[in-house]
Amino acid sequence: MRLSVYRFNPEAGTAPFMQDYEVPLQHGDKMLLDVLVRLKAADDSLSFRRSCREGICGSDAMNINGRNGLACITPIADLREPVTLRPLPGFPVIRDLVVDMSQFFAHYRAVTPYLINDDPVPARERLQSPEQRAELDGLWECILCGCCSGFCPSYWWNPDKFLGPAALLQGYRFIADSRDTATAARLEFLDDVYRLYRCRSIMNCTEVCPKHLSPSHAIERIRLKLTKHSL
Amino acid sequence: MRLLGGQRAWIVQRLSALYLLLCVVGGAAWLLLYGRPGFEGWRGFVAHPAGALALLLFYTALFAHAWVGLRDVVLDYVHPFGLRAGVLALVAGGLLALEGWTVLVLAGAHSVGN
Repeated sequence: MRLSVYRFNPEAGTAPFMQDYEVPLQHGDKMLLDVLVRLKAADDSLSFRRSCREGICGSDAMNINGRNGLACITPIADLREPVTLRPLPGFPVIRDLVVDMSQFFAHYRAVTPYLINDDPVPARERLQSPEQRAELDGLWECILCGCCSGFCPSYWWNPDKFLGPAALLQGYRFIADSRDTATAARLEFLDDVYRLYRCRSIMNCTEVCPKHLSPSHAIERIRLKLTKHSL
Repeated sequence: MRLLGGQRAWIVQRLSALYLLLCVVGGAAWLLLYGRPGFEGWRGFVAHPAGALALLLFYTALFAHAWVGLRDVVLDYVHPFGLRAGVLALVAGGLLALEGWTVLVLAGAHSVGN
């Protein structure tokens, strides 16, 4: 398989460049990560993140042939050669395909991604009806890989101020949670021209989410909640 | 709804778009049904208070919609504070001037009609 991979080593002091590789496939190679692991064995100077190799940890998010995705769940049979691999767009590059996600996780922390409920703790768990629990489907599955935020032009232009689709989806996950009592504070935090309203609903986030979630839909639900809340 | 939040502009953008859409679709349907009104028809429409109000609302919605859209473009692409403030002031001033001009035109047409 022919690959064209973004290479950048800040310690070398050279400009980024694309390096071509030819990686012989072997029996059992199914996903792009299999090829990358084989490539790493041949050229150990190449850096990329990976861990679970089954689309759960989100470590190997990268730009594959112009589209963000997870290398571990991208079938090589579907890829046009040469496969062009770049780091997630809009993220500072640490080295090769490894990006700095500090800002991304700072935005995630900013939406207080945990249940807030100061009511007395019940003897058993805080119960939800099946309908209330169903509200969280399509939200809790986010693995924070960054594919959505890295494919959002609004995030590229204002990565320090716009929270990005991933953090906003996580924010809505707790706004939609019937057990959470901090909805008003959460909505007030998000009612900001940058944090939420840089989103133009172009839906790139929904288009590339490897878990088939819809951050764009979650963002729209936050806007509607804000509108109802203010009436 | 906070004064400096993002929601106010978002609502203005959607409401103005809705009104503009209604006007464009309604206007096109009216033209298809009744044909071109001609100069006297237009003058009669603008001279009538309801017609003048509808036109004033149309242009106000258009300028409000343009303001939110242009403001978004500036917030996205113009980052230096001084330049951004200058461009926003220019855009706001231009749109306010256009709104004032619209009011003058409509008021003039209304007085001629009477």
